[in-house]
Amino acid sequence: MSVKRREKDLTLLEKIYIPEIVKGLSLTLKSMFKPKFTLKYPEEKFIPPASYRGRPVLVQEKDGHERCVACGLCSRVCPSLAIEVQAAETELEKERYPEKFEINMIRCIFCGFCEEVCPEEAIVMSKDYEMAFTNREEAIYGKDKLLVPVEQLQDRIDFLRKYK
Amino acid sequence: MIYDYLYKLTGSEIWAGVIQSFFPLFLFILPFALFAVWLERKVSAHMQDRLGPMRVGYHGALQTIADILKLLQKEDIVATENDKPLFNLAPVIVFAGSYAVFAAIPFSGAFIGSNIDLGLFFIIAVSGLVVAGILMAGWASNNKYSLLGAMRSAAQIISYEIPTIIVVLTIVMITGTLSLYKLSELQSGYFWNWMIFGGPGPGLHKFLFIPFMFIGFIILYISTLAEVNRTPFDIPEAESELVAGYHTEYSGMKFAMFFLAEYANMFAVSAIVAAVFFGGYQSPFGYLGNAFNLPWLIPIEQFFWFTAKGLFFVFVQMWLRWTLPRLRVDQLMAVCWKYLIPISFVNLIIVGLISVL
Amino acid sequence: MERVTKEEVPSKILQALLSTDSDISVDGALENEMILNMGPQHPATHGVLRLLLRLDGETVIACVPELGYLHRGYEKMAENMTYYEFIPHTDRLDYLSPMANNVAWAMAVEKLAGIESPARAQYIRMMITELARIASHLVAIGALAMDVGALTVFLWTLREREKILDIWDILCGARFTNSYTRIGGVANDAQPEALAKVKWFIDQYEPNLDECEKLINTNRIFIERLDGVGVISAQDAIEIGFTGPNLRGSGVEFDLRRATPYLFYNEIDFNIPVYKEGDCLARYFVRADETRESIKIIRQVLDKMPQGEVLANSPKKVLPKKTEIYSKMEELIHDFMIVNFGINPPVGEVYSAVENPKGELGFYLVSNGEGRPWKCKIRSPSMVNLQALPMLVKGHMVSDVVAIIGSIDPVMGEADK
Repeated sequence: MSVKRREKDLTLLEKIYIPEIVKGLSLTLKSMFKPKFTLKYPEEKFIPPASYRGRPVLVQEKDGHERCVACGLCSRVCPSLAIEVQAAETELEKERYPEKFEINMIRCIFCGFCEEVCPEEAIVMSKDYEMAFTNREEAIYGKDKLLVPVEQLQDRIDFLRKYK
Repeated sequence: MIYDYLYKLTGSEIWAGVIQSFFPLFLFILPFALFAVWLERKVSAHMQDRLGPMRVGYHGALQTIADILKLLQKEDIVATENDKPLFNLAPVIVFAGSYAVFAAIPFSGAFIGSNIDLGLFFIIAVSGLVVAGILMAGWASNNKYSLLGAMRSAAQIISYEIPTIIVVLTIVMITGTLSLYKLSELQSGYFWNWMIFGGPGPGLHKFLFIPFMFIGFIILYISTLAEVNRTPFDIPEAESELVAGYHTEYSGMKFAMFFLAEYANMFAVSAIVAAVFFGGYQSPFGYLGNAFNLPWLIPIEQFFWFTAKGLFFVFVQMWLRWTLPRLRVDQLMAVCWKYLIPISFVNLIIVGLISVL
Repeated sequence: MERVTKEEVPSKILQALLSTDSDISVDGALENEMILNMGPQHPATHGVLRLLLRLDGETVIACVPELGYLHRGYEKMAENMTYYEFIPHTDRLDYLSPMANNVAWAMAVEKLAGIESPARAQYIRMMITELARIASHLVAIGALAMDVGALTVFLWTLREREKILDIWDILCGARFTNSYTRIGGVANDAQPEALAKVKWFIDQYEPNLDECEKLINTNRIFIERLDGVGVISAQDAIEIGFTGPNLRGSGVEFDLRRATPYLFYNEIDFNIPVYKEGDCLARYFVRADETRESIKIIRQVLDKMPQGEVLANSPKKVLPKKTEIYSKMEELIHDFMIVNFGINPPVGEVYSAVENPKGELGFYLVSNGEGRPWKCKIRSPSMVNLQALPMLVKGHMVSDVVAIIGSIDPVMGEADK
């Protein structure tokens, strides 16, 4: 542990500034040659762990349909009111499907509550963190942008089943 | 000398004078400032576990040029409440003050802008002009932070000129010259002839001088540090207290002029330290030009040694800046009046006694 | 209290500035003095704190802090959402240690609803609060050093903080707005790799902190800037309502982790660093020492952490496990009920406070039996600590004001709520 001293406790050597300054200089010089902490972002990408809460996406089954049954629970729990779901009937076994499913990515706070309450494992947080828009309309993600094949999300789904 | 050469080339005194006076600006100050700003960012970044500018050019080498281009394009904002004539004049005066200093700096035996006998005196006198510019900037900005910064700056620079002058006086007393050219020529030969090692010539004096020369060097370095407003004495522009001090209200090229002047000043004071204590443009181990019998090489070598020494001290200034906290106003004054001035006086007297012995 | 119209505000502020010598008019008073507006965009006021300083030269004669630039009305917002939905909002109170706020909120709601979270969840909560404490204090130490001019220390401490954020990233999936705790436990079990990273962090932390401290701790410039600046006596500190490191810097040994042990703090062996002087330097030392104590706590927590569930088994109040929602009807119904109608705690009121990095963070909740709180009051430490500012800066210089703000370490997200 380094020493905790007030001005009156300083030794004479510490009081005449110069030795302490030289000590500090040697420390900063040493750190000049240490490996750096910076991640050079666009070239080096941050690879998120399985627990990472990135952009929420809808799980797309292998047959091309979404898992979602449009129960609206995610829309209800969303603290920032970012999700809008409109249900419609379908011939499939699940009977209901989201006719419209929109997430306003400007509002989304990536809390992961939608994923947590979803009873069908239909909406999960992906590892995608690169989102940029040039206008507000672009930021409203519809089903075309939200649907992601289930194989790409296996990492996250395994995490949910194991730890949640 | 450069002037004679230019005179022969152009055949006109006026042209020779004009070209010679622009010489340091385009040949030295601008490239140096560009390099120094880049160096400062790199040094600070590497001390802080960062990389600093990496994108523009190799390791960000062209970053400052890009910045200068950006500053040139920026709108030159003058607030309505500013005192416009003073506001516009201030950066020019600050820059002129730091630029004029370069006239007397001996870059090499063959290139001194103006080889006057009162070189040291001239530098100290002209750099006083900077204070006037800073005060004008602070006052004309009509901003309380700027005013506080300017007042601090004036108090600081004027106080710290005293120890600077006393230390310079010590050297002048020993060597008996105010000319930087003569001072540098005196310290020729190997590095043990430098003033920091007691000056030229054998004898008991030389060894007695050494500790006092070291004290003098440290005092001179500290007080010149304060004169150019670098940490730990950067209170006039302390960014966490006064936003940016006297240049808060400046933008665009006027801001760039303050910036340029700051870096030019950094080199100027480093050059004084190098010239007074570290042999000026003299090489520490003799010249290649002498060894290979190429006399034209010697001035180039001298230029190299001088800039190398100057750059080293500039680097130390940056190094200190990224290591130390800054002093408070009253502590700053206490350091000057309670420590530096008495010590430098005692130093002066002792050195005087030794040289009489 | 009387209402103040918009036009009256500037004159009110001026009156407050001049209140120390009320016999002089504004014109006379300002002849040799000036009013300096510091903030809300000033680089050293840690966010959007605004100070009005009345200066004589560089000496501060009076100071009026103005809060509220970051007011988002969280107390009112809480009345319009379920207890569960408010968790992400607690991230945004003290945004330097969101985990600690999450824990505070979850504990308050659990106390209100009478839920006991499992032991493993409680140990995880202790671990993350202490990590949050280190993360917050690292910013405080670094920012104080930066305010007095040593920028390098700030970057070095932030480097250490970065490692904690990485741990949080693995643990809960977000670096900054964690929203990790749930009512009745934590969102997900701590993975082995997260715990391994915590272990790695605590082993390498102390040498790194020592290095940061070596740069400033015996540096006379740094000590002179802080020694004897902004002194507050123990009596005054208690009267103003100081809590946390600021109070302990004034020599009062008060720490909620000891005074009213929550989680499993009574089973943990740790010291409460106390310094008597009550100045900026003492507050700085307290913070540095507290991070070391936190390391000690985390080490014991990792040793003692049991296996088991991380969410309480209380179907009406705690969200069921994900795998059970997929397969069982009853859990599915509970999921819908809790999300749609909230957890409906019994009628009553409760005050629950925890020792946050900044001080005592308390939530006062009143329930009328519905899914939403009827009233939520947040006792935020930064807000209370800031009240001492006019007293602390009086007679010091402008440079000291910056150091004093840094040593009080306010977070405006919390102070303005």
